[in-house]
Amino acid sequence: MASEKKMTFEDALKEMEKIIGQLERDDLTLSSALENFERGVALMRICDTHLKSAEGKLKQLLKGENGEFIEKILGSAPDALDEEGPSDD
Amino acid sequence: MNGAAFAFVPPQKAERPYTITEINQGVQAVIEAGNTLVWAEGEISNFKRASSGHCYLKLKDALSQVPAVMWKNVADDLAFTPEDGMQVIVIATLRVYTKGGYYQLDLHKMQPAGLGALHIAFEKLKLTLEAEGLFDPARKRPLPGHVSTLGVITSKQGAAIRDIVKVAFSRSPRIDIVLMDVPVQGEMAAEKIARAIDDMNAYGKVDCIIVGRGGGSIEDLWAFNEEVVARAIFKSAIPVISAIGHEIDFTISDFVADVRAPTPSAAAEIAVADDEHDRRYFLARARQLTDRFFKCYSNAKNTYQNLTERPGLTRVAGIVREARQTTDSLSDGINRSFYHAFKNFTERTMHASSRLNALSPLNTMARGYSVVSNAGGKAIKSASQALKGDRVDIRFFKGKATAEIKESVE
Repeated sequence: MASEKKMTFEDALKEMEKIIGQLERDDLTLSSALENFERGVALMRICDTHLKSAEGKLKQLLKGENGEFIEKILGSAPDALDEEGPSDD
Repeated sequence: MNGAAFAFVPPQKAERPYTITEINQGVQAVIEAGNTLVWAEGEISNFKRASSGHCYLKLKDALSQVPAVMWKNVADDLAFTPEDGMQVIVIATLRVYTKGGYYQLDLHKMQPAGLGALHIAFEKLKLTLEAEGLFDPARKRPLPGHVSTLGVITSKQGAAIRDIVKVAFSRSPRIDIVLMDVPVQGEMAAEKIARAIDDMNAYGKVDCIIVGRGGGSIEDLWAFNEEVVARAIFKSAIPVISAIGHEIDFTISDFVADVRAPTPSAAAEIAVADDEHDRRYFLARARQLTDRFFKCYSNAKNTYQNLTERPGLTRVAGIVREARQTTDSLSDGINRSFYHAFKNFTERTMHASSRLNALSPLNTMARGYSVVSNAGGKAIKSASQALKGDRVDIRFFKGKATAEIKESVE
């Protein structure tokens, strides 16, 4: 289940659509339907967590002495650049 | 100052000699009575940049020369480095210096006189790259359906990054933006922009790159017409959106890029999907999921006869409760009709659940009744089905037994 925490919104939505497709089958037993629905609810939770998150970051990419990449955090959503740059009020 | 323009009084009419100050001021008056803004062409010589940032030079042609000055703010904005011997075109104001007794061109704009040559080079490069296939629409990559990390190559101090950040985060505050700070005009710009595109590909953790800058003159945007930038965009494995703040003109970068946006804000709109759209789509799928499940459940109601399905009923109640809690906690995008449909469903499920429970023979059996079935497993409902000597199976509420009929009475 740990890997599911990392599941992207898009992947969770895609799997949800697959499950909806499964639930359309005529030959589905009740216990299969239950399993699918249970999984569907878990995916709904994952999607909801993603949609609630508002933690996007603005980072600057720099190169270090050995050519390695360094990420410098400049700010986060929604007002990432307010601390930087000229103020014009 | 209409009315009589200044004119020097000839010696025979003058009451006294002019002072030197008056001579110089007189010259200033004569010159400044008319228009002093001129368009000129000349060759640079004696170019010097002072520590203050102001530049002092002479402009000359074959016969004559004139001192000129370019103040720091104009000099800083130049798209090229002035050098002795360069032929340039300028817009300047004639200024007379009354103290020193000389005049000077105060330069407002300067560009290399070979701008015509620049345009010829631009057309030539455009044809060359087009023939090589760099502009081919067939090779343009589609933008990813969902951008979770957006790369931006522009100046950290410029307006472009501010516009992009504002638009991108307002559409989706959950994405990340990775910026590479580069100069977007001046001599080193093209090389640095090209290198940044390569670096961002090496870094790899972005889904899409916006390369651009805010508005400016043709000279300001020239870096984006350079071959090195065009080739870097072409080579990029990550899709590139060009956003060079010029609505009307196209630079060569615009032709090579996978998508051309008229402004940096437009680029952010193109790259980043609005979360609101995702939210609505998700809620529609969630509703669909519960609708479908309820249909399955309704179809399965015949299974109450099969005692092994009974555990399923309690499981349903638990799962439905869990699902209802999930939708209760869904962010405020949840719309009333979905909640209503879901509430409706849970009530119908509970109702169906309890009806099935009531119909279940187990309740009856708990009160002491048993199910008697014949050898073939069929439940016996009448004495005529239970003849003397028949073997029967008896199912109690708890456990079972087998028996032999001694006597039956109808």
